[in-house]
Amino acid sequence: MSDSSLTRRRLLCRVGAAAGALVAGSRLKRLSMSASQPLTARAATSQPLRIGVVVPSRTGLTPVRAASQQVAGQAALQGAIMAGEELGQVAGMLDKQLEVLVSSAPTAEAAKRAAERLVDLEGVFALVGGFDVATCQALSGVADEAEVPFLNIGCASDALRGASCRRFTFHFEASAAMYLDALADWFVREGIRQWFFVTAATDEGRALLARGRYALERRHWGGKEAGSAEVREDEPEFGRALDAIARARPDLVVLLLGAVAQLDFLGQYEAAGLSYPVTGFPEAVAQTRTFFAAARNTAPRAGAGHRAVLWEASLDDYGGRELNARYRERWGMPMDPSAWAAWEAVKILWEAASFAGTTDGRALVQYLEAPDTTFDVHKGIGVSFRPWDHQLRQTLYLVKVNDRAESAWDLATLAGELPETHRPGFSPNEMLDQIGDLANRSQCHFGSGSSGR
Amino acid sequence: MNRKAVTAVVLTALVVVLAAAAGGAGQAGPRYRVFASNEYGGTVSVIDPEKDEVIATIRVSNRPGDVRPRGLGVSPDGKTVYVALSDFAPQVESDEDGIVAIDVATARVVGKFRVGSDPERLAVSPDGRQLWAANEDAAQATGFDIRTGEVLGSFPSGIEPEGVAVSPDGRWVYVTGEVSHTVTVIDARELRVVKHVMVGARPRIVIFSRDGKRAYVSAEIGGTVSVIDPSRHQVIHTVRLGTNTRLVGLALTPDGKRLFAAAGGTNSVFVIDTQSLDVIKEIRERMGRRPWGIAVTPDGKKVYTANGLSDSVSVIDTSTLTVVKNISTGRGTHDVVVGIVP
Repeated sequence: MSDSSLTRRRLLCRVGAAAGALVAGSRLKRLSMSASQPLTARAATSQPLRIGVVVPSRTGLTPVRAASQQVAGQAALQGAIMAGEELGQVAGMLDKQLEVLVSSAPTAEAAKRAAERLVDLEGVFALVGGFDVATCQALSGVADEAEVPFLNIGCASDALRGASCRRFTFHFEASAAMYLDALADWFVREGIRQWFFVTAATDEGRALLARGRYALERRHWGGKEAGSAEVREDEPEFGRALDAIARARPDLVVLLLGAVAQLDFLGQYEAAGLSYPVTGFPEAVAQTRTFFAAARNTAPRAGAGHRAVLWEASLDDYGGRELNARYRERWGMPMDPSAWAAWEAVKILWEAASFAGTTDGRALVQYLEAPDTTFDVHKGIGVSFRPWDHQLRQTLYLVKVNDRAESAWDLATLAGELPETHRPGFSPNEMLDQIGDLANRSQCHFGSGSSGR
Repeated sequence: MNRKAVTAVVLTALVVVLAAAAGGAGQAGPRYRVFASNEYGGTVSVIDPEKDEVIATIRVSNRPGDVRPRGLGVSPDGKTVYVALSDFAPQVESDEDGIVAIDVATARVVGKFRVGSDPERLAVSPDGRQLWAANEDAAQATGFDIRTGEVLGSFPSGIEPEGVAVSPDGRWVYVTGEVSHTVTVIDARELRVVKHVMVGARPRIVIFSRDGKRAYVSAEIGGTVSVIDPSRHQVIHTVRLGTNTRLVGLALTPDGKRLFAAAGGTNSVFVIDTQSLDVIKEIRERMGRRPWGIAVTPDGKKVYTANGLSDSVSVIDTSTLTVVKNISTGRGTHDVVVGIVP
């Protein structure tokens, strides 16, 4: 009874120890297979299947502002390690080996170097990571150069799905368009129709504003813009914007800002005595419980509003309860969305290599963008990548930040799922394509017979 | 014998004849009872298939919503129905995790067994001696000897195991792993894992054909039914029913010629010819919402589905392949089996 004596927990500890060594040691030993050898045969041989994860994690050496991003990076690192442990066990059951190699990289330049090292020296067949546009572009570039798939798990920027789209890049993270459509869908249906936008004085900020307006006025009829104000995130003095909000008297203030600027704004908004509900753009950091706690502490009233998230640690259906519980057991904390994204991204890549039967980059791209390729990501509906821009279709969630929470566990309460996917009679793609940019609005045209954009 | 006495004898004889006739009608075939688990109600509904009415409701959880009855199994003689009961605390085995035995004739709970944490579904061995449970939170399956009360062993499975089936010869136990998309094969004689097989995305239920020559596995996200050859433990065919179907429950007619697949996503039941593996019909009209569990009566005349979102059981007439009745049951009706009254 040798198999029965190997309990799951013991197996996880063993794999966990290996994963821990990879992370802590950062000693990347050279594979016997040289970098110039094709990876095609790996899925069919005893060579380990390796996935490289590049995230900003807590090194203690970075500036305070960068540390906020590392909240999401640290969670992603934990999710990736757990995925390596669990799916490594599954691979072992199927007489294969799966290894997840994690590299900490606090800047785009460091991420590029780490990714190149993972590809060239460690022979990873795919990359996962990215929590800012520069890093996502750097990893995307490495992926195209090396012809290995890259799964973006933290960059929502629509530009990455449009003008900057690349053949080997796939977006697990929801797009800005998806988040804005989901927010519009939810709030407008709730009768919260007059929106005031606060945007950053950057190209990205203006792009978010334009897409927010489109979401409000074109995709979800009935919503209207009550006004907008442009602010500088590096000079957090928001007096003029606050005055404009007071004059506009909106139903909702929408902060299309980075996570740190959202906190700065919330503090001044609360101090100004304004009471219109506030939500913020859900970039990866702004979806974490660390952010929720900071928002609530900074602005007890305005910081405890509704927010869109990719995942919620209290989700119960479709195996979410079990996954959340395993993460809690493994790390002693709630599974933040970026942890979940890393876990699922590793799972998708493992499944792609298994079902496609190859680790060849071009073949994997074809598999990932094929219309009949679906994945289970614990959301109760089969998800797939849009062929034209490689964006994963998936549901999003709305949570309410709990102003009376006593622990991280009850900091957020699930309030809704967007879009609603329980109605019979529609295909998963039809349901999920209710949010985000469709092919007719996309500047990217993969999967249509052309070689790309 | 006077006229009154003659009349009394005749009436008595008539009553006896009628009673005999009535009894004979009842004895013409075994009497069935349909059992449906209500996940969020903490109960099991008992349906009389003669009238298709609920005749009893058995409480198996004193904490409805927290302690959930889900998967059902039935002993080979049909006399005992087993209910998988799990608490709402994953990763922890509590007294509320277990398998409850219900006597079909009396509709009473007659026993409870500990078979590891969070048992979601179960299967009974063909000799009726073993229970096999999928321990969802522990990524393992547990075998249990009903007579001795001993745990035969716990075996690592895929992640989030759910469906369990024992082959008709009692040799193989198949366990699906929802997250790993696998079926784990356990040798029930040697008590060891012999293989893991990849199937469709998010496999839920596995059943064997009566002759043991095939196993069928539903995949919720993949929308497929994988056909496995148990002699090699290999997938030999995949029936694709569509990713919007969200397939869960599977049931075969007694002659094995038709496979019924419950599609929670389309609120329908697919009828598949097991020879050609073609879809004969998709039954949609009057179906309850989100059918998951499904069972065929031993005489093959009716199919029952457990409908989680309409808290009901739908009844399908297998001769017309139409829904003939919907029966209100309890909150979150999850699974359904047919027991036999001796």
